[in-house]
Amino acid sequence: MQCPYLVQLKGICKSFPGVRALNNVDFDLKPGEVHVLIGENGAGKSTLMKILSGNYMQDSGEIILGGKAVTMDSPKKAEESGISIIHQEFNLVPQLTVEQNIFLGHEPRCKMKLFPNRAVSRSDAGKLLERVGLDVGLDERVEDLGVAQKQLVELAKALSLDARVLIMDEPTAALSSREIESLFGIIRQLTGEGVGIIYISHRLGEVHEIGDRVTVLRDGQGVGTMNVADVVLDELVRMMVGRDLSEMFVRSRVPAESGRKIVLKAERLCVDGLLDDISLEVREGEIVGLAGLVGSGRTEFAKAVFGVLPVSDGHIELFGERVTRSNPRNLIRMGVGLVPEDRKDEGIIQILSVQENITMASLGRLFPSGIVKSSIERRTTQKYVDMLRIMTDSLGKQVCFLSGGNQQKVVVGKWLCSELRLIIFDEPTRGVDVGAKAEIHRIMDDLVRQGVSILMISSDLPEVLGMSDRIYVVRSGRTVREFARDEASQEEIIRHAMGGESCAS
Amino acid sequence: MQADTQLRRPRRRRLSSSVVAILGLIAVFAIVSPDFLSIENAVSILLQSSVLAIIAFGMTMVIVSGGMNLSLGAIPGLAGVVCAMSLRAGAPVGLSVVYALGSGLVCGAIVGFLVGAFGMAPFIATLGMAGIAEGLALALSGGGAVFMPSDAIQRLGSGVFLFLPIPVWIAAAVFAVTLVMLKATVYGTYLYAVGGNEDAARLSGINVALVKLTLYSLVGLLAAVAGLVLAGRMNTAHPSGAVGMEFEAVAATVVGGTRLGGGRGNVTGTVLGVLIVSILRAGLNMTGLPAPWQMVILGALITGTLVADAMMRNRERRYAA
Ligand SMILES: Nc1ncnc2c1ncn2[C@@H]1O[C@H](COP(=O)(O)OP(=O)(O)OP(=O)(O)O)[C@@H](O)[C@H]1O
Ligand SMILES: [Mg+2]
Repeated sequence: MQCPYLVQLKGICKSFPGVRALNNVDFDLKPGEVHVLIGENGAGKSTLMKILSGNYMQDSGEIILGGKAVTMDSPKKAEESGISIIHQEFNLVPQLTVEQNIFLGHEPRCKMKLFPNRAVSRSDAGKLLERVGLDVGLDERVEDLGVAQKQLVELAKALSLDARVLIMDEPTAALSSREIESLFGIIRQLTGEGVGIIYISHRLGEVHEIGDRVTVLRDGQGVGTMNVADVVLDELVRMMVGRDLSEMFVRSRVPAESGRKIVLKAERLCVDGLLDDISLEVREGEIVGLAGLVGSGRTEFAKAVFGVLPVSDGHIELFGERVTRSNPRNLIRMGVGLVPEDRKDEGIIQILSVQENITMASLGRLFPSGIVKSSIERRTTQKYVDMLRIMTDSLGKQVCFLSGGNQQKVVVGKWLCSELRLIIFDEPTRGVDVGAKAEIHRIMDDLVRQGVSILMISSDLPEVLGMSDRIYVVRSGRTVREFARDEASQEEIIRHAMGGESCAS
Repeated sequence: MQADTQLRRPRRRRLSSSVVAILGLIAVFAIVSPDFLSIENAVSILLQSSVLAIIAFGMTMVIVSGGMNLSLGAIPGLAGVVCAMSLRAGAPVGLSVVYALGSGLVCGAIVGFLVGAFGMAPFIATLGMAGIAEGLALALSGGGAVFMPSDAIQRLGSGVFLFLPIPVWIAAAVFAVTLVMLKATVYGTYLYAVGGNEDAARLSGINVALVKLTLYSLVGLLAAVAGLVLAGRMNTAHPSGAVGMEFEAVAATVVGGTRLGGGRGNVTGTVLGVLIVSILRAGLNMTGLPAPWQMVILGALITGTLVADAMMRNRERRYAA
C-alpha cells in the first residue's frame, strides 16, 4: 500500500504575536512533480515552508511524510527525513568558504568522526558547483561573492543533501536569465529522478514554464490548488489578490526633450579588477535601465558611484560637477540614494522597527532641530506603509519579522522617504508580488515626472523594457551597447549581454 | 563571465605585521636596556606569558564563536584554591588536580548551559560567573593566599624540561590542541559557523546549544589548567591571582587578528598577540618606570594597536562591500 504523496500538510495553523500567518492550510506534493506556491507578500508561503522544514512548529495541523504523521521539531529532523530547503533569505556563513558552506552541518567525515574528510568533500563540492554552473573557487569566502553566486551556493548546498523533497523559496529572485535556464535544467533532471519540488516565486511566468500544479495562498489561507495546464495567468493573479489587477504597470511616456540636464555622467569608469570602461549618462527626469548578466559589474558600478568601491580610472560627474571625494554621506547630502541589492545585509537594520528603518535616512531632513517628534515620524512612516502596502501589524514591528517581500518594500520606502534627486535602484522589485511591483513602478513613474532621475539595475527584462527610457547593456565590466526604448527587445539585450561570436558590435 | 568580476580584495597580512611589531618592540627595549636581549630574559618572558597564553587560547575560541568570557580571569584562582585546600585536607595530588580541573569544568558548563540553552548573553553570564568563582575562591581560602603543599604542583609551575620551563610546554600543548581543533575538526568549523551566522548554522542542522555548552566547558577547563600552573609557579594559590587577565587575553586575541563579533580568527595570531603583550610588560619593567606609568603606557599601546587594526579593517571593508 504505497502512499501516492511524498508530503501532505493538513490543516496547518500558525500564529505569531499580532498576526495569524497560516489558517488551516492544506498542501501536498507527489514524487516527480513541481508544485508551485504563489501568493502576495506576507501571504504565509515562507512560514508554511519553514514549518515543513522544521524551522517553526505549527500551532495545530499535521505533517504527513509518505503516509506517516511526523513531528518536525528541528531542521536536522527535516534533513534526516529527506527534506531540503533553500530559504528566501541567504543562510550562509559569510566567513566560511564555499566548500565549508555547502557541507555545513553534514560534512563528510573520516572514520574517527572528529575530522572532516576533505578529499571527499572537495571532489563532491567541485561536482556540485559544476552542476549548478557556478564558476568560483572552492576556497573562496562566501562574503566575497555576489548575490547570484550566493544563491547558487545555496542551491549546491541543498542538492548536496540528496533530498527527496526540495523546497525552493524564490530561487530565481536574484538570478538572471542564463542562471534561471540552468536552474530549470536541474529541476527537470531532479523531477525525472522522482524528487518532488516545491517552488515559490513571484515571477508568474515561471508557473507555466516549470510547474505541474499550483497552489495559491491568500492571507494565510489556501485559495485553491490546480493543474497548471488548467489555469491562465489572469485567473492566478485574481486568486492571489482577490480582485482584478492589470498585471503590469504601463508607464506614462513624456516625449523626451533633448535639452534636459545631465544628472549623472560616468566616463570610462574603471575599478581595479571589477570594471573597465563604463560610460553612461542619466538625464533629469529619466529612467535609465542597466541590463546585463549577473556578475557583469552593474552592482559594482552603483557602488563605485556611491563611493563604496574605489575608482581607479575615469571619472564621475554628478549634477554637472566632477566628483572627487565620494562617500555615501556626501552623496546622500547631494540628493543621491542607492537602494542596494542585498537587502538583508545592506538595505535594512533587521532588529529595528519598520518606522526606524523607513525614516533612518531622512531624520536630518525631517527634524533639522535634531529632536525627533514621534507624531511626525509616525505619520511619515504611515504614508509609505500605505503607499507601498507594507503588510505589518504595527509600525513598531521589527523588520526581521516581516515577510521577505515586505522587507524589500521597507528598503524602497526608506529611500523614497528621503526625497532625492537621483535614485539608483539595484533590483528594486526583487521578491515583491505583482500588485506591489506595479505600485513601485507607478511610484517611480511619479518620481521622474517630478524631475527625479532614476538609474535602475534589474535582471527582470520585462521590467527593464517596460520602465526604461534608455537602456545600457553591461558585459564584463563594460557598457557594450546603448538602446533607445523603442529599439530594444528582449532578444537583442540578451544577445549583447551574453556577448560571444554571435554579436559583432 | 562571473569569474572576471569577482571581488579580489587584499588578503590580510596580519601575521607578518604582528611579527614586525614584535621585532620592533624587541629592538626598542634592547636599546633602552641591553639586558633585554639575554637568553634568561627571553625564557622568563616565555614563562610569564604561558598562563596568559593558555587563557587567551580559550578566549580565542570563544570570540571566534561570537561569544565572550569574562570568567576566565576568576576560574584560575578558584582552581588553585580548590587544589590547595584539597591537598591540605589530605587528598592525594591526583585527586586534588581532578577536583581543581572539575571546578573549572563545572563553572564553564554552567555558563555554557545558560548561554546555549537559555540564550543568555555570554557577556552577562560570564560576568556573573566571574563574581561567583572569585567569591567562592575567597570563601574557601578564607580570604588570603593558600600555601600549595605539593612538590608535583610546584614542579608544574617551575620545573624545567628540555631546556624550557614546564609551563611553556603546557602552553605549547594547549596551543597545539586548540590549533587542530579550530583548523582541522568539524567542531572547529561549527565554531566559525556559529560566530559568523548563528541562524545559518542552526538552519544547517547544527546543534548550536550543544556547540556552546561544549565550548564554554572546555574553556573553563583550560582556565583551571592555567590556574594550576599559576599556583605552582607561585607555590601558593591566590584566590584572585589571575583576575584582570581576562582583559589581557581579549587584547592579545584581538591584537592577534581575531575579530570581536566572531567568525574569524585563529590561535596562531593569538600567540603573537600574547608575546606582544608580554614583551611590552617585561620591557617596561626593565626601563625602571614607576608601575602606574607602565600601566598607562601598556594601555595606550594596546589601544593604539586596536585602533590601527580597526582602521585597516575599514579599508578592507571598502573593498568587500
Ligand atoms: N517570526 C515572525 N514573527 C512575527 N511575525 C512573523 C514572523 N514570521 C512571519 N511573520 C508574519 O507572518 C506573515 C507571513 O509571512 P511569510 O514570510 O510567510 O510571507 P510570504 O508569503 O513568504 O511573503 P513574501 O512573498 O513577501 O516572502 C507576515 O505577515 C509576517 O509579517
Ligand atoms: Mg517569503
